Amino acid sequence: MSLKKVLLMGKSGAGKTSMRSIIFANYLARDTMRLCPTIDVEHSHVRFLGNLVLNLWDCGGQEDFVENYFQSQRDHIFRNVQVLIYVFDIESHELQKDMHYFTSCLEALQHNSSTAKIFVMVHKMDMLPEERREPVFRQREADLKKIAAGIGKMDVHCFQTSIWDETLYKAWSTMVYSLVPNAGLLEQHLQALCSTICADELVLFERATFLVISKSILSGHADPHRFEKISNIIKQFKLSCSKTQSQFASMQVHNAAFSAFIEGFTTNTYLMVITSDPNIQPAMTLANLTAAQPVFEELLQHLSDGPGALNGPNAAGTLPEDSVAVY
Amino acid sequence: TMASASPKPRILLMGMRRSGKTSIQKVVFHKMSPHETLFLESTTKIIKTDISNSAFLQFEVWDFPPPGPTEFTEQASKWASVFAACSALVWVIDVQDDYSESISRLQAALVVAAHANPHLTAEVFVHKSDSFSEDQKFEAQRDVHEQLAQEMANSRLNVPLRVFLTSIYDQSVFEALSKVVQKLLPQLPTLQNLMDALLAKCAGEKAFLFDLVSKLYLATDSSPVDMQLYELCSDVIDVVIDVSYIYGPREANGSGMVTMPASVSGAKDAAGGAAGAPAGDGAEAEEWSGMPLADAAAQSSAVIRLSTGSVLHLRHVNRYTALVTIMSDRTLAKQGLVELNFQHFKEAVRLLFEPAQAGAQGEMTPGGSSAHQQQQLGATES
Repeated sequence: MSLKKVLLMGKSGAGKTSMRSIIFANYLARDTMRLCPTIDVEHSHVRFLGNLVLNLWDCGGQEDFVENYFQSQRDHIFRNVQVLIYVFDIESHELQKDMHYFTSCLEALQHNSSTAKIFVMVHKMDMLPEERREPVFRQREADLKKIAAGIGKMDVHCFQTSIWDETLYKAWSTMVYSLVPNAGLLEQHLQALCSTICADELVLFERATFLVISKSILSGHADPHRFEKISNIIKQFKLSCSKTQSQFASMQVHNAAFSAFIEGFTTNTYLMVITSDPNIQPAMTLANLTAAQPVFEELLQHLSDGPGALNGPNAAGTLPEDSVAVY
Repeated sequence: TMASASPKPRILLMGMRRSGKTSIQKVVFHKMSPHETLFLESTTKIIKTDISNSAFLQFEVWDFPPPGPTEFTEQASKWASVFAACSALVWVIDVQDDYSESISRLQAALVVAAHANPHLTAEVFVHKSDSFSEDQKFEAQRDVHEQLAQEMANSRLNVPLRVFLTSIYDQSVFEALSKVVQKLLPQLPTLQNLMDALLAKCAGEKAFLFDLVSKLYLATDSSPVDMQLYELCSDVIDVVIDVSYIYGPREANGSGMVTMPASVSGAKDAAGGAAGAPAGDGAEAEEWSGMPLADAAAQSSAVIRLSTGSVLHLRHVNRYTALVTIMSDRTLAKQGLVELNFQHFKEAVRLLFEPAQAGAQGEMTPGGSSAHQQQQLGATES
C-alpha cells in the first residue's frame, strides 16, 4: 500500500473543504454551502486506485490555526509531504497577507519536504466576468511562480478553478495523476489497447471520483477541455442516479458521428471509449474491453511495486490475441 | 386544433411584481441558469415567446407586466379579448411573500376570464418553494388552494384550477409547465395509449416523451409519475446532450457558435415587446442557447444501465423530441425486438401528428393509425 500525504492549505473560506467534499465525498456544488469553517486540521484517508491512499490534511485557514502551523506544529505538518495544494480565493481583499502565508508554506515545505510537488488553485473564478478570467489568472500565476522561484521551487503548477464547472476536475485530476506511480507505463498499455480496438481515444477514470488518471488519444477531438467535462458530467449523473436508490453502472451514446462507451473496467476504474468508425460493432468493442480487463487489473495492482517489477506491453502485459477488432 | 391555419395556443404568464414570471420563462424556454435570473429587470411590456422547436407542439408564451389593483375592472373588455384568445392562464404566486393580494388579483382576473372563456383552466404556481421544507410546502399549497376556493365561492365562480408547487432551482417548474403544456395537446390520450402499449410489450416501467430544447415532457404513460424517476429521466437528456455536444457533429461558423438550420424556428421574442435586452447585443445569442446543444444530440440514442438491473433508453422520435424509457435489463436479450417496437412507436407518433402538419382534414383518424401500429408491436416477453 502506498500512502501519499497531501496538504490542503489556504486562507479560511478559500474553498478547500468544499473542493475535497465535491471530489471525494459526493457533494453537489450547492451542498457545500452548508459547510462550516474547518477547525485545526481535518484528516481523511481516501483510497484511490486500490493501492494508493491519499492522506489528506485539510488545514483550517483561520488565523489562529495558521500561526500554529508555522510555529509549534511546523515539522509535524510539513514533513513527509508528497503534494501541497494551496488555494487562493480570487475575491480575497488581503492579497499581501495571502502571498505572505503562501511564502511561509513554501519555505516550510522546502525545509521539510523538498521534493514535494506544488499545485496552486486560483479558486472561485466564476465570480469574475468571463473576459477577465484569463488575464487575471495569468497575472496571479506569474506572481506566484516568481515567489516560488525565489525559494528555489521551480515546479509549481497553477490552475483556475470553480466548483461550478469542470475546471475543478481538471485541477484535481492533474494533482492525483502526479501521484500515480508508473503513470507512463499505464499510458503505454492504454495506447496499445486504443490502437488495437481502433478507438479514437480512451480515457481511464478512477471509479469513485471519476478523476482522469490516464488517457490515450489516437484521433483528437476539438475540445481540449473535454476530459474534465466528462468527469463533471458523469459524476453529476452518478449522483443523480444514487438519489433513486440505484447506482450508475454503464452508458453508451450513439450518433452518426461517434459512439461513446463508459463502462466499468477494473475494480477501481471506469473506461471511456470513443469510436467514430461506423463499421465497428458495439458488441465487438465491449468484447475487447472484457478481454483487456485482466491485463489492466494486474497492471494497476502492481503499479506501485516499482519500475523493475513491470515490463512493457510486449512482455507479460500483452493483450490477448483474440482482442483484435474484426470488421 | 393544430391545423396550420389557426393561431398557436397561447399560455399567459401572470402574477404580481417580482413573483418570478420572467425568470420561469427564461429558465425553461431560454436555458438561462437560475442564478442569472437575479439580474433580470422588471417586465414593463408584454414579452411574447414563440415555441416552435417541436414538430408536435407549438405554442406561444405571453409574459405580462404585473396588473394594477383595478386592472381587471377598468380594462375588463381588453382583458376579456385577451382571455378569450388564450388556452391556459398561469398565475405565479411568490410563496415567500404575503400572497393575499395576489390571490384577490387572480380572483379579479378570473371573474373576467370565466365569462370570456368558459374553457379556460387556471394554473396556479406556488412559486419559490425551494427553500421550504416538505411540510411547509404542502401547507402552503393547501393554504393557497383554500384561499382560492374561498374567493371563488364568494364570487360564485367555478373555474377549474390546478395548484402546483414550483421553483426554478429544481425540476418542479419543468414538471408543472409540462402539465400545462400537455393540456394543449389534443393527441395526448392517444399518445398515452401508445406509450402504455410500448411499455406493456417491452416490460417497461415508465416512459416520457421529452422536448429536447425546453425539457418539458409532452406525454407520459398512464402509470403515476414518481418525481425522482422523472428527474432521473430529465438528467438522462442532459447527459446525452452534453456528451453529444462534446463528441458530436458541429456546424460551427468562425465565432464557434453553431448556426441554426433554416428549417427550424427556435424560441425567439416576437416583435410584441421588449425582450429584456435589445436586439443585436450579446443577449440575442443567449436566446438560442438551447438549440446548439439539442442540435448536436439530434439522432443520438443512448442506453444507460443501473445497478438495480433497470435500463434507461433514449430514442429520438423526431429532431427535437426524444422518448426516455425505463425498462428491465431482461429485455436487452431481445434487443432487436425492442428496436422494432421503438420504430413502430415512432411511426405511430408521426402518423398521429401528420394530418395536423399537412393541414389535411379527416384523411386519417389518429386513433386508427395508432391502433394499427399497436398491433404491430412485438412482445419481448412470452
